[in-house]
Amino acid sequence: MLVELMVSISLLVVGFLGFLGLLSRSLSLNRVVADQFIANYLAMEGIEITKNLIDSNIIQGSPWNQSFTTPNKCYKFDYLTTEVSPNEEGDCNPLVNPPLNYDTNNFYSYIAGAETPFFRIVSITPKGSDEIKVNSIVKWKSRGGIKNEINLEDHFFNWR
Amino acid sequence: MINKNPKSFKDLNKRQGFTLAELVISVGLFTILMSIAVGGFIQAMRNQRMIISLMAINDGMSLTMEQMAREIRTGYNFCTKNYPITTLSECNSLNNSEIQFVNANNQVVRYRLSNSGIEKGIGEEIGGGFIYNKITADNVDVKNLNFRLSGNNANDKYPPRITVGVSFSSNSPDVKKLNISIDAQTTISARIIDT
Repeated sequence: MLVELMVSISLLVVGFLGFLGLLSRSLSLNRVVADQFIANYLAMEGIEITKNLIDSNIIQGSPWNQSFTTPNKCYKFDYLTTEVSPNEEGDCNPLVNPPLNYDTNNFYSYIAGAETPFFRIVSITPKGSDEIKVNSIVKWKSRGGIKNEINLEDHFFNWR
Repeated sequence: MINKNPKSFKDLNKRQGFTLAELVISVGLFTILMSIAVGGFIQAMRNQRMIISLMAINDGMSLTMEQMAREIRTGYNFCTKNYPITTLSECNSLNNSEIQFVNANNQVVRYRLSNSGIEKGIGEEIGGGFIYNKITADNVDVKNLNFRLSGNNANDKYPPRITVGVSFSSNSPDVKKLNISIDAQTTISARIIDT
């Protein structure tokens, strides 16, 4: 009788533990939703900065794809990047580079600030002399160490 | 015959009823387990409500940012607090969460943070007043809006670049309790390039 009681109670307890575990999981899920939103916009920013740098080349009278002619180069661009220098080059695995900081101007950048979980790299591959392929890759780790990645791709052409 | 020492439920069935102690224990156990279950269920409902309101503000904010980005991308004559155009006197009155530019329809447009929402203002004429309309949903609580402009001067050899930073949360009490704030940022390169 006692054994039956113990077995049934422990079964119930195990069942409830699983149920409660599920609840705490859904609590961390809302952070995933927010992080995905932020990462998406950070990835779009990478593409726009590249577009801006191409336009700079045109204004300055340089070849449109200046500094983007070497294959398989990856760059750490942020909103303050105005020139492509060796300083901007980074490893093509975003997680090897420093993460983006949330700086004192309330912007994500590589200048001093609070460290964020987001790592970004802009990978640029020339395709002939009139086209470049740009991949803006944002990686971040959410709670529980799950790795997330957003990879946006765009192609820019020599048209201006 | 009544078995005085029941060894199993089969023996128990032969008895005429339950003792008071058995009844109290079983009802007590049932109550405890039920209260845990109901508590968990209520928590699950609350979480679901919270995630729905979080997704609602994300969707709303995404539309707002998209609208701003599209209009800025095709605009020109930008000015912000960090980058006023001296020839446009009204640019000097801008604060950090305001931007003014001329859009593709040649209207003077301003975006600003006001009453926890983002407002778009259309100027009737240069130097005149602006008529503002809120473009964020009421469930979005915008805490911070920042614009940063660069490459906007003629002959600076850079095209205009506008960085928009926005921090927002939800007005729903479930999200407020958790103190979740989303800090999003995007940069826009104006398609009309200067010199």
